[in-house]
Amino acid sequence: MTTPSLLIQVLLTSLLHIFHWILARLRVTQLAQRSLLRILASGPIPQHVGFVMDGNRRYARGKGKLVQEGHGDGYLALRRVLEICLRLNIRCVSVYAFAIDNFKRPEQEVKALMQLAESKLLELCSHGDLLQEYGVKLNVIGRISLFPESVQAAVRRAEDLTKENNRSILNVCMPYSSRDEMTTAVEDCIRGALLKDVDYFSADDPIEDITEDTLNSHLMSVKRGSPPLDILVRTSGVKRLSDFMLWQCCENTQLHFSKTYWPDFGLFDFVPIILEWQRSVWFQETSHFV
Amino acid sequence: MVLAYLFLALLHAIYSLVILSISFCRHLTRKTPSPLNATRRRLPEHLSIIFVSDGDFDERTNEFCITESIHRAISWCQQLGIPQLSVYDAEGIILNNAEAIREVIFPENRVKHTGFDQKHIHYPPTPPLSDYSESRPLSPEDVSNGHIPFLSFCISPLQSASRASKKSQSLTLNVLSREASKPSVARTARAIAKTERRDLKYSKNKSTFELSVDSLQNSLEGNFGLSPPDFMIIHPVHPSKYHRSPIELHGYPPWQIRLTEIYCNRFRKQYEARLMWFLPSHVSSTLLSSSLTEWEFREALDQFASAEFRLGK
Repeated sequence: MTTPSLLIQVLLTSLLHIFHWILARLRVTQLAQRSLLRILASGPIPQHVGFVMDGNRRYARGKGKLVQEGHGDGYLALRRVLEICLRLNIRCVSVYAFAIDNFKRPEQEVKALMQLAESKLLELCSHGDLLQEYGVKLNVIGRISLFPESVQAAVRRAEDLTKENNRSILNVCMPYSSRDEMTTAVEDCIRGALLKDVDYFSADDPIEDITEDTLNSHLMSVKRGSPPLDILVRTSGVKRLSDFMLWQCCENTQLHFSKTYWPDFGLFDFVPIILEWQRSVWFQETSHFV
Repeated sequence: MVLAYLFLALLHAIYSLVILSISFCRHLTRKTPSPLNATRRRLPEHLSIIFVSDGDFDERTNEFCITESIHRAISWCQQLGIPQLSVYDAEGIILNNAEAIREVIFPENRVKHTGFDQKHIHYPPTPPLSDYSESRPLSPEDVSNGHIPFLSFCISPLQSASRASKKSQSLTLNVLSREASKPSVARTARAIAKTERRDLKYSKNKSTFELSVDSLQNSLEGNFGLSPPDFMIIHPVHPSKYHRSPIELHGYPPWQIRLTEIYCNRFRKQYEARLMWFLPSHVSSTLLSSSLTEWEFREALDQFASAEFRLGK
């Protein structure tokens, strides 16, 4: 009596195992993911998406991990999200990796973050890795001189490795603050105007040429070729911008505040955001026709 | 390609259903916010409200909703003792109706100042010299910022609030438009450049010009600038239409919103909206338009009270 049921059980489990093996072999989940992305990419796609990668530490605390491990998982999430964006043909991705204010954090954490930045930047840009595979140019945006010398060298080397790529752009903002970016833009414009005045005399005052648009074109991210920001995603349920791309996102940018912590952020958090973008584009088109 | 598009349409259909059911659940399980006068852990020091007008509505409806909301917001702020309120809209509707708002705030002055000078509202280049005694003084000495890119009223405390003595505080109302946003930063940059050029003429050392974040902050937020709001409510006049797409900031001054907590109730939709397409537009617009309600305001205050501020640490 027991033998046949046992036999069936063994048969079933082995069948399931074989099925699972076949699925893994065929990479069905990956296939499903990729076809989903292909379907999404057939609709309108934003040009520039920004991420405030928030929640690494709360994620680590929740899982009983070290803060450094949380940041490591955050880096894995970045790779995952970046690949999704590139498969969707998004031209430019900006991520807020390190704020100027973050230097105020405990020394040990800052040190670990510096090491992470140094090693992962080079890993991302190395031959055959994500950025080279998809033809992505890496820009590090921010006050790099605040970094220790070794990180600065890594930044220069990483940018150098990808400078020929022109399909997409990845802006890693560190150590960044939007106010700093705006101040630098204002400073640049004023310097330019003052220089012109010394050079030659003409009827128009170069100072009067400082407008909204000139300031915009002097922003670090815009100078490096970033298109206007279409979508800003802030994770971990915080409803603030925390000094990230304020100038860029205060107009014509859709804001999303996601409850997920950044290391957990994945395809199913991102798909609704793209769907909403597509809906709003279609909706605007129809209202234009009316 | 066609196949992919079909699948995409299917995906959107499923997504709409999911959103519909989620918002329905939220509607059923929504919590009643604490009363207006409840003690909250934290109250905003500077509240900002972005009004989003709608092109489908006629001008009158937009104006009516916005001015009504502003009047309500003023009275709530006075009751709670919130010292500063900024109201913004990208189209300049509030600014064009500044006279109407002022009349309600200062009814006793109505006879005295009938000719509210229109040219002071349309700027640049004239700084809006508010000509009533309650407004803040404008000193011509301030070179870097001889202009105020917005209107500012100072409202004296409510007489009836005198029993709660600590709450009897005057309220500053700032009326902002798109002009106070990026154009204002550009204007400040030009002012700094002019001062710098004048200084260069008289000084010997020609060092390169440097600008720190703090000094730009002083020019933008200082004496005659706009202080950063700590809380922002986004209020669309046509919520059912607005909430079909994600929130935006509609060109609110970028420098000031660094640490601003943002509130917008995304589930304030009226599904009747879809059934009203056959009504004449003036009927449907009065039915669908919405002013700021006390419910919304209380819910917003609750969100602000529960927010966590870590400031980069």
